[in-house]
Amino acid sequence: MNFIDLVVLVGTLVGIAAYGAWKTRGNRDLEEYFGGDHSMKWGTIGLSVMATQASAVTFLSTPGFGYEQGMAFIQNYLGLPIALIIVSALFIPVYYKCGVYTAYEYLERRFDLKTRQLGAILFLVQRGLAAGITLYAPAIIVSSLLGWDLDTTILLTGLLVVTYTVAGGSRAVSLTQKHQMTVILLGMGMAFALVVFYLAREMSVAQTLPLAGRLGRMEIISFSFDYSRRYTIWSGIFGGVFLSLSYFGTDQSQVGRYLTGKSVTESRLGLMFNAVLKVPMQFFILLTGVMVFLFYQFVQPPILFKRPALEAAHASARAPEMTALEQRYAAVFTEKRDAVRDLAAGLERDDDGAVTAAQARVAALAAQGEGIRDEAKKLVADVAPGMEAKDSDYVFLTFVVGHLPKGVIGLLIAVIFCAGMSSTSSELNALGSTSTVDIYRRLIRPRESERHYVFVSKALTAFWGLMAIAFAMAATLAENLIEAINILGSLFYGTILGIFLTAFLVKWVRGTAVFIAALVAEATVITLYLTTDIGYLWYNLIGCGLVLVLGAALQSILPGGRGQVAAAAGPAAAGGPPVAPFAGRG
Amino acid sequence: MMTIDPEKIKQVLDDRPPFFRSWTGVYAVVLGFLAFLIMLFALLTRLLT
Repeated sequence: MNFIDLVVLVGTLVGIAAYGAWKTRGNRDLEEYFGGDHSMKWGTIGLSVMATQASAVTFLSTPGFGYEQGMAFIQNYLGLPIALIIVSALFIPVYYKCGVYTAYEYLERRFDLKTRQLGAILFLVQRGLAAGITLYAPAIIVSSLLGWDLDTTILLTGLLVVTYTVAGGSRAVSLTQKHQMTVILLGMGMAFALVVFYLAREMSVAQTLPLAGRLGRMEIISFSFDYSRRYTIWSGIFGGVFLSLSYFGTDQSQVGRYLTGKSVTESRLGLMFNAVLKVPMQFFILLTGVMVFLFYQFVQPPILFKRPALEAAHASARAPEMTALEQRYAAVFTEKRDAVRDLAAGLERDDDGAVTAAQARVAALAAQGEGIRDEAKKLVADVAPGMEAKDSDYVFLTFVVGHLPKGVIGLLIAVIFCAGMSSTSSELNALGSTSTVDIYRRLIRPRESERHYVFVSKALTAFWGLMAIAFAMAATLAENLIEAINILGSLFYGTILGIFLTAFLVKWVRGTAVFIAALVAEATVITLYLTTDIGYLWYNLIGCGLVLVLGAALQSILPGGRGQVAAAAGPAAAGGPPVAPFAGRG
Repeated sequence: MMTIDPEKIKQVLDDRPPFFRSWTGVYAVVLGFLAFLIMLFALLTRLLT
């Protein structure tokens, strides 16, 4: 990395962080610290919601996914717009009416204290772990490709994000996210344009998609009913609705973002902004990965993208074996490149015979190349156990560092860190608000001054930040990073969503029934995860469905039963004015 | 005791989007756009694979 890249990288990261901290200094009360003084307009909310969801993993793993498996991952996002509509129509009005800081405050109002605590604790566990992953993900990849020290990278980025999140609270998070998202969109747009420009040396732009299709990267939608297949339109829409509904409706890192809105309209418009733009944005990120895949059909890629794995093999006694594998891989690549050129020429001439013959040759040579890569991975596993993890997460950055011009490399690395910092800041702010409002103020010290709570909020936000840094420094993740985050979320989200949907939709179910149902549902989901191979998106549906059904069933057999509860619950159970004592806000 | 501010209830009830007259209209447009994207993706899959 040269001086220009370093200036662009450090200038972008520190500049945005310093601006955010300075602009939002001096919070007086919790309303300002966690509610952002309710001053945000829809554009800021929209970008903030988008930046919270799009972590560094989005910009590392997603192109890697496109490179390795094509466009099918886009189906995961098809349920998102539907979920955002439901959140906008159902959740936002309730949160606004109740004037809550956290989603879990509402649960006590609707059910009881133990259900609120369960929701808050499930969130703290899941999000506390995820915050570590969001810091770890960019650091491990960037540090290994650029030769930086991993712990130092985690520590520096972690401390930067903790500093401005603690100092400025929710408003600092929103303001920095707006600028970070601008940098991200600019950088990704530039990367896409450049890879298409490079490809134009080999073929016309119009030819790229047909060629990608012939190379098995353009199956965007699958209507298959095979339940074990991870990405189909059905799992994407049904599982995706539940995952997104839970994430946007009940995860405080998102709820906290749109509740900073100046009005209900601003919050709703911020969500609709995401409902319209998120799928196209993900489509282009995946397509960037597919374009990088095409680029590496004409320019030889390394045998393994994960450079430290390759270096470990070359430093071992079996280095000559790895060198021999690389030579074989290079020979197969040269042959495959010629076949791909024949395929592109056949497509240009619309010559079906030539296309079919070239496609068969490419497929055979690609399989041969993959076989050699598998041998290389096995060798790495033997000489450096733990290093053999799939290397698709390293594809995009290898392309950036190896082939983009000076300055753009710095910008793209800034994109990765901006994404990591923006989602981490939301997570820390949400962890701070939940532990302050739902645990500390509710259970430990309920009658302190606003100044005291702001101080505790800052201390708890800093605590979660330091925990995330410590977790990131201790982490070793073998799987694809974006899947790791989604799987972790899916294990908990279904249950949390079930609690909230019961609260909104099944008015006669009360606290004890939903609490027991939630515990049973969570145990079932974890058991299914450990013992079956069901696609993870379905856990959201299963967890949520179990809470809804079991909650209703238990309420019917618990003392009091359905009829009496409905009659006795009065307006509170119907979502009307409160009847129960509540030590939350207000 | 948590209370609901009548102003907030009024704010929620009075809420109107700046375009398409009602939120139902906005949601219909968003769903229409999603349906368009799914059809486009299905068409691309059919044409390119």
